[in-house]
Amino acid sequence: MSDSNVKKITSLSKLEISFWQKVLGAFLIVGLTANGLIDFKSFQTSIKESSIFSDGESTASSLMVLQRESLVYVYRLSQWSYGEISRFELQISRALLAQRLSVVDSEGIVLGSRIDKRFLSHIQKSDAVVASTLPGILPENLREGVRSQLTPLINGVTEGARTLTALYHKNLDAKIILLAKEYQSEVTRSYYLLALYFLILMIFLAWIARTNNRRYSEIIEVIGKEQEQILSAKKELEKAEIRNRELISLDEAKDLFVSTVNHELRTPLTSIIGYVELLKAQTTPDMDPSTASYLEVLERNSNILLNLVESMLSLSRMESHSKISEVRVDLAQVLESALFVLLPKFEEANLRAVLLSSPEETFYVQGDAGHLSQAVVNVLSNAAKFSPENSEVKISLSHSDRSDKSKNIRLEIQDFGIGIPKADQKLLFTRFFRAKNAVDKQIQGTGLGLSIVERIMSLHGGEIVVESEEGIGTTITLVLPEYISAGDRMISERRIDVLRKAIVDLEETTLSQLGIATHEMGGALGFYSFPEASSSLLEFSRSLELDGTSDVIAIETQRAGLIAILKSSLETAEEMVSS
Amino acid sequence: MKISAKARKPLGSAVFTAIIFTLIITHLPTATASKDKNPYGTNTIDPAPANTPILTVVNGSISKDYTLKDLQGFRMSNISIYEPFLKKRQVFTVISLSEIFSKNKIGKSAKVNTVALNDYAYSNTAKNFTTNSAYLAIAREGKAIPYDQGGPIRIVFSDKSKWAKNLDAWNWSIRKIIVK
Repeated sequence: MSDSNVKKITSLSKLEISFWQKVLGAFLIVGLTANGLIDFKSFQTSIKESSIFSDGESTASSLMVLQRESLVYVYRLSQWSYGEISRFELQISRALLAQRLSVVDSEGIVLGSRIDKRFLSHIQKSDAVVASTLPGILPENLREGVRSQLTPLINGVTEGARTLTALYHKNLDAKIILLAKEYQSEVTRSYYLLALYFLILMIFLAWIARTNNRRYSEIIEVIGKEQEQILSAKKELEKAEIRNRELISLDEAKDLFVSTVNHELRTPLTSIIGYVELLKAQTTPDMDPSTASYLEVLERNSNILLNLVESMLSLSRMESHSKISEVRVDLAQVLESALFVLLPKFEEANLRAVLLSSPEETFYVQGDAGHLSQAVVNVLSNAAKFSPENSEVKISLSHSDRSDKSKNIRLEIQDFGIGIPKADQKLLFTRFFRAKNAVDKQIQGTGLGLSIVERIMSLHGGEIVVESEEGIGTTITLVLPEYISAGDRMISERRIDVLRKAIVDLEETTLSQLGIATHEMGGALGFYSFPEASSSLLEFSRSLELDGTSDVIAIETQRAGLIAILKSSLETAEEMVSS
Repeated sequence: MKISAKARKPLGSAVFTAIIFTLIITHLPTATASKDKNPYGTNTIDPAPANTPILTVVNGSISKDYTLKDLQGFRMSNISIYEPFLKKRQVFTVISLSEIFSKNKIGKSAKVNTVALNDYAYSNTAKNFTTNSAYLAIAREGKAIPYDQGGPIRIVFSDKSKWAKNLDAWNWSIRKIIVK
């Protein structure tokens, strides 16, 4: 997936909540929480203030206590009438009953006003009976009479006390019903409120979903487009692969065709040229002069055709080869041979070949002598072809450094001919291409020469460099890596092994043995041509011997430095071998 | 309507009397608002037998009786409190219950039982009574508390006390304080 699409999807994936949606969400949270808290608080308060649950203040509980006090009073009346308690004790019980009757209940109503009037009347009548006697214990002679007066009153109070139970239950039930109604209305209110909150919540979620649905649709769209692009690219790749296979097959077929055709053309051409030469040899002075000129034309054109066929065949062979031999070729000798082959051409145009290289130097490359010879011949042939008469062609062989510290061999061939137009220079290595000025001047050529040279250079790990200016001349440089013999390669590999071992030994040698070890290593590496590493090791060894220093940190620091130098030398040597 | 001169005087007197009567009637003390008399009480009550103590404090094997005069020997104060049974504000002359506990060597963790004349009882620890500002009221509005109004002595709490609404603890007509 492209970076832009990844960023787009990442951005769209984030949940979008607008300001007003946040406000609504906050309202929901705060509202629900507050509602819950209020309900809880209200419930707590109801529990606390509920007169059902608090003792002493509620009407119901006051009635129960009144009932108890009434029955206690009735009991005391009976005790007093039998002389068991004094009038004072009876009066105490009566006073407590009066206290209870005067209590104001939770509804603000005096308890005494709730009860039956006959109940109060019985109590007041009993008061009169008691008041008619003297303080202290009731005399025995009065007890019978008092009891006969008190009995109906006692029964009346007892009966009245019993009705308090019904009153208690009635009051309690009324309270419970009221509370239940209050509770029910609160529950209903809560349900409506919850339903409202739920509705708002649904609206809130739907709103967010609607807002973000668009974003998700966009994400799906982006992914869809990405998938389409991938599919499309896949199809293109498949098409390209098919085309590639077709092209390879076509190419192979073409090569085979060219090779076959070339071979089939070459054979009759060689025969034609041979017979033309025979005919030429048989011409006599008394023959028609036009016959000789006809034979000349035949020979020339046959040679041109043969040259073309051979070039094509050669190119076809180049293209079918991917590997060349790895023998040592003396490029100076190749050059000499090529000059010898082209000597007639040079003489014909009165061209001078100027060689600018030192005869003591060697110029060995690795490859196929025949191919290299063809390349040099093609370049020299072009130089001769495009140079004006009486001019010179400068040829130089030299060494140059490569980036990996090995050497290249450079063969430069400079002519002072017609040059190549700038627009045509990039097409020089295209098959059958001929520069415009060459065509205009009707200079013969197949347009295959430089293609062949480029291919040969490529096979040999080299390159061809063309510098040209129209009307001034052309310099073609063939660059090839210098030859390293198998023996030299073997020696290099051996050197590398020695260097690797030296590095390991230097890392592992104990401090006490370091002086001797570095002295020996320095000698060995000097023998194997590692001058920098060798001199560093020997100098270090000498310093240990002379200074006799015991500074461990300093010694270890120097050891680390030496290891770095050895590793650098190893890297260079390995690069040279691999090249 | 024109009122004649002859009718003005008696009419004026009648109106005046009606106004006064209305004022009196509306300001008559009701049964619920009565300070001095319980409308459900009897007119008289016999005096207590001579030397009858009004409070007995029992702490283990030690029992101590207190007459009204003995109780008046404690440090007294007058406080205005809201009486929760009659639902009105009254001024009581009180003694701190913590002083009585201290005098009778009743420890904070001791379980104290307050018993009324009709044997109604309320129990809690001495510490709870103390921390909830429990008082023993021995007079109301400067006078003795009638028996039919929770007297002669009763337990009360200040308005700020947490037990101001704990009516079980407002034991009236106290007779004994017993340590269990």
